[in-house]
Amino acid sequence: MKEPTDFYKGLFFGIAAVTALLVFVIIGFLLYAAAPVLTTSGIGFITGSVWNYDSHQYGILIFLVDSILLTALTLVIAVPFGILTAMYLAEWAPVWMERILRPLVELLVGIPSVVYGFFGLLILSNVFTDLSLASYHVGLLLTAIVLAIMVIPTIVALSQDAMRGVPDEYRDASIALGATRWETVRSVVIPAAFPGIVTSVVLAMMRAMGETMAVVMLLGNNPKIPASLFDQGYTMTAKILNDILYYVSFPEPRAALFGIAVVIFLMEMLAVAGLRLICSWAQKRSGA
Amino acid sequence: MTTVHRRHLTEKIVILFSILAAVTVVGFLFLIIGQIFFAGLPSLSWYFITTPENATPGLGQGIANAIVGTIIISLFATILAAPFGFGTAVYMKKYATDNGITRSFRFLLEVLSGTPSIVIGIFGFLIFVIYLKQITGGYSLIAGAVALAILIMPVIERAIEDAIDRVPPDLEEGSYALGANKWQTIRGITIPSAFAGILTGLTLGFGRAAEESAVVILTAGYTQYMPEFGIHAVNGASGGLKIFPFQDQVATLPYTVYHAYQNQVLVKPSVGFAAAFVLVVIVFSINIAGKAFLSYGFGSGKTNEISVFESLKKRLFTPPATSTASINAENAPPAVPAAGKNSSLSDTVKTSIGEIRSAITGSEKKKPGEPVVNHENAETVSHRPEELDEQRVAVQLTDAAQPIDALSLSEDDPSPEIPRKPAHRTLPQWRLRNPISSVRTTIRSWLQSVHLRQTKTAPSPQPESVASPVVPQKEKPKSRLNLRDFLRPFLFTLVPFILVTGLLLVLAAVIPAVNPAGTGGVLDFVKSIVIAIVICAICAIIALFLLRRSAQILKMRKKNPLLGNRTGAIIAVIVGICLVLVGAFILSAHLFVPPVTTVSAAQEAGTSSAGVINTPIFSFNLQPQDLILLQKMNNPAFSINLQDGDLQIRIINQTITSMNMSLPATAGGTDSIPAAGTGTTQDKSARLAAFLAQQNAGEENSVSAAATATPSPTVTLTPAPAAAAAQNQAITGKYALDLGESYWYGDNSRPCLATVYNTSVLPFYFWWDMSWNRFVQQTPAQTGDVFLVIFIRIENTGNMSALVPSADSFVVVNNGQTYTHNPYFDTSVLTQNEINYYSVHYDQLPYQWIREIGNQKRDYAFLTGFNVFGENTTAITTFTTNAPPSPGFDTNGQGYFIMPGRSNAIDGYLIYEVPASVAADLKDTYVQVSFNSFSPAQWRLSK
Repeated sequence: MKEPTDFYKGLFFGIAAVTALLVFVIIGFLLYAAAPVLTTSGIGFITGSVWNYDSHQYGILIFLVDSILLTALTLVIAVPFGILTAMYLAEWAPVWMERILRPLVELLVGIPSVVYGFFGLLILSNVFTDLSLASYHVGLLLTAIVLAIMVIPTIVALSQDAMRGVPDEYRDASIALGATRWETVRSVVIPAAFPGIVTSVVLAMMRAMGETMAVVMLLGNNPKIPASLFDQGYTMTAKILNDILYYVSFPEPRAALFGIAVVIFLMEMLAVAGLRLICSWAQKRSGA
Repeated sequence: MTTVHRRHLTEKIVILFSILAAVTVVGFLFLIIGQIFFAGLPSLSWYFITTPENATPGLGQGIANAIVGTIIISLFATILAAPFGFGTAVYMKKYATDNGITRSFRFLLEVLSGTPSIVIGIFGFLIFVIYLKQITGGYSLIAGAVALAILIMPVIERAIEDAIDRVPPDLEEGSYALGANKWQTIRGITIPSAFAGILTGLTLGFGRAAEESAVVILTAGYTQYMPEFGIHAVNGASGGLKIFPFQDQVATLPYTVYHAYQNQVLVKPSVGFAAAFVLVVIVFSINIAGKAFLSYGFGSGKTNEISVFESLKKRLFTPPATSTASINAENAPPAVPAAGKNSSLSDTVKTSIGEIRSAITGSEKKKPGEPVVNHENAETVSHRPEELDEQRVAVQLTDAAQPIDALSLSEDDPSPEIPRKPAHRTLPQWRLRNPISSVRTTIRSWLQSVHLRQTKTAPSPQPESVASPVVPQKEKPKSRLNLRDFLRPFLFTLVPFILVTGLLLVLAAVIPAVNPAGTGGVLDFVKSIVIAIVICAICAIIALFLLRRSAQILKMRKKNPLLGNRTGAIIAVIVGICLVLVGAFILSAHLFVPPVTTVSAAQEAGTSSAGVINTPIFSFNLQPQDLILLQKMNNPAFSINLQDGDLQIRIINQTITSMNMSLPATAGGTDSIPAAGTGTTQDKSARLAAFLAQQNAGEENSVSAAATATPSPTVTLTPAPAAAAAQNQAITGKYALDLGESYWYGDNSRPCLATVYNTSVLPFYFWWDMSWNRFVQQTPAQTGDVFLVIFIRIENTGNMSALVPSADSFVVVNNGQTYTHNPYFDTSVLTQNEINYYSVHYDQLPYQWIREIGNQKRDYAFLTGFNVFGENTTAITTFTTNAPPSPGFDTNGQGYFIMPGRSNAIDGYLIYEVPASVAADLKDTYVQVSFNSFSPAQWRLSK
């Protein structure tokens, strides 16, 4: 019985290995399921802009561009709000207020995305049409706003943690040098917390990119590249959800839809890799 | 000076913007919750919450099935994910060394945690629902739970890692120092200490599973029924048996909301909002409960939990006068936010020294009460290896009875109960800096003071029995603390639950009174109130039992005030709450619903290469009283052998392409089936015909019940005034063309050709709502009416434009009655703003979209002259997407010009709702057109 440590180590290693291998299983299976179309379409799968089941053309360029556009617009809206809120909570808010606001913001994370979508579809969109802004009932800007509401809590929570993690000595030194609070925040706190802030933004980006339900409900599912803020679009995630149930029994369309999933997964892996780069860069910087 | 002013101004502006941003963000929370609540208010009722959908008249009028399904599927997903999340976290935190494998593990875990739910959704869909159908039963609880487990595993893993991180390293080092090996330390120290955090992780995972929609849509399916428990023989299942509920489809709240989105014509929006509100309340309660565990448990990383603890402490017991100072002093750090928000390592270490001492003290104090300790060890997770106990015995032998308490107190516990150590009431500097350790210290000192009081009053191993008769005065505070002691876990675990229950009860009491619609009348309301009382009684009984149990546990805890005994109480409470919830909903559902046999068909389509279904895929032999539910199937063909009796068939969300129904000759020789409810009999074939006519007439059909097609606004067809009819009668038959013959019209410079080339009589049709991205199913306004669809082609004859008559020009004439096209605005589908908008921007309803739908032969589409908004869409029917729409001009209300593109023809459908009698004699029905004021034409619709 001198083995138990090794036994438990082996056990836990096994569990961790199974978990890690799950990622390979997922990506492998996605590739396997997508192989028929990926091999025939090749790079055209990415660069083609025609998606037609009848003519066997599968090009996701429109969906890809729409996904990226939507994510970018979401971040454009969400990042200023998120970082300003985080800044306020971390630097200026009285403790009692921070104690109230922080849990509330975290609660926003818990609202299911399908509820966000439903809310956006039936309530927020009416605001748009009331203002005679939108040419469609739903569209790009509406979706981006709803997605922004969805990802802002992520940005706020993580950025606030990052700013809070900046040692007070830095602030004290800056203020002792005569800087105002804002100057301290701008030139000391934010640079020091920058990796954390970037991490929060990347995580928010990943969430916006992978969001499905709200986008299905709000973006219009109109396969074109939006010409304006109020135009409609069609993202990769929405394409999968809308079509997979109809086409699962047809091998080729199914493979094409799994090809989209492969692309999403690879983009997400890239984002994670980027995140790790940021982290290691931050570590290196703080170490230096 | 100006620079200074500017700098301060800048600061003010930035603060202003920051506040604005924060207010906006938080305002959105209230906006969303409030809007969802008020939008859902008309549907929120006790009946709505406690009734499964199958027991309700319409679609989506009850969500009990979804509530129970959400809880069950999340529970199973959490159970499945917990071992993996836990094991991985322990490995990553305790065993992994910093090498390549660990780093790649970390990377893969991050990838897994970032995987979009749709990816996991289709992964699970193809593997569990399609490939492993024989095992999982297709869409099923087990498929959904496994897919959700993959999704929430990283959440749980991350939370457990954090929890392990928060375990003071000194505790573990102490364990090692005492000779424990790694596993013993993990089992004896790390896991018990991190237990609250682990529980939090599981709870957060549960909440994440409950809120997920894309995954459950693709893997769990949907059923209108409550989950069943049992094993039944089902055709087509593996081994002929199906294990309920695991291999059965399960409804979830997110899917209910999604249904409300998909079937907006059939489901009131308030239903979707009500379901969304219930879902949000559930998820919020779960998340709040999870955070409460964390703040209640050991070591927390959040400053805001001080307030929780402090307020609770104030509410629960009045601190001794001397300790007020220290509590106040500990309140001080949050007042210095910048200082209070940072906890450095050294602080943690200092705190931890106190903790480990306390821990040792605690476990030693446990020793004397042997019978209690054994019992307690069985209940809690804190199993200690024997070696540790031996070590402690040794320690205890060497030490005097008091010193360890004194030692730990002297270090960091300014307990006011010990007058010997007044000097330590002055707080050390580091405590001001670290609110977390302050909280911890407060807990420690409070526990120790309780403990000390006990040992003072009753030094014997059985304090209760001995002390109470001897020192009755001292008994008082102890019993008071007892009560508070065991109230504490309940406050944290039950408060969200009680809030939800209270809210539901208030809603149940208020809303049906305000808005009785959606409830089944007064009787149902009374019934639901009775059920509510029954449920509350059951809750109370179980809660009493749990109280007793947790009182026992907490009594034992006094022997060891430190490590994790109350987790037993917490677990008991949680399990109890889950049981209460599930049991209550199942109970109420069964009170409402007669038991039915559910046959959930699988979804996979089997079509021939031509896309035409040749053979039936699903075959059911139904018995009387059977209820068959066909749902979520693509292009299925059914073969159903009907028996006499009440057969109820619901078709959910599906387009059935063919259905073979056969009725065996019954023994009684009667060719009739008693219709349910009414007691009348109908001809079998008539019933079948009725069924087939209505099988797609709604998302939900019921054969046995009186068919109630959901009435919705439509292109109504009103008999024109008699005068107009007489005038139209005057048009003689010489203008009547046969179907397929064309009619020239226009003028010399712009000759056009029109053909009515086909007609069709449909019980319903679909049209494609562009901006809402979904089919709108159009059923007749009057039950029994049908739609007469007239296919018209108007051809351009070489010019760049052709004149298209407006739909107003067309009338249908039958037996002297004239039916005119009457455009409508469906306000239940469109907002007035939309109508206004499309009235102007009708050109934003691209024609080719409708064409595509038509080409796919999926459904019928509506178009021509007037669209459903009453606006002419033909002006832009250029057939090429890149050519800008021709503006066209209105020729005095007669029509619009088109510009031919890819095709030189425009196909249009005119759709009229007519009584079935009109459709029956198409031969005597004419479509009559006035292309211009002087050249009318008339087509005979059947030769």
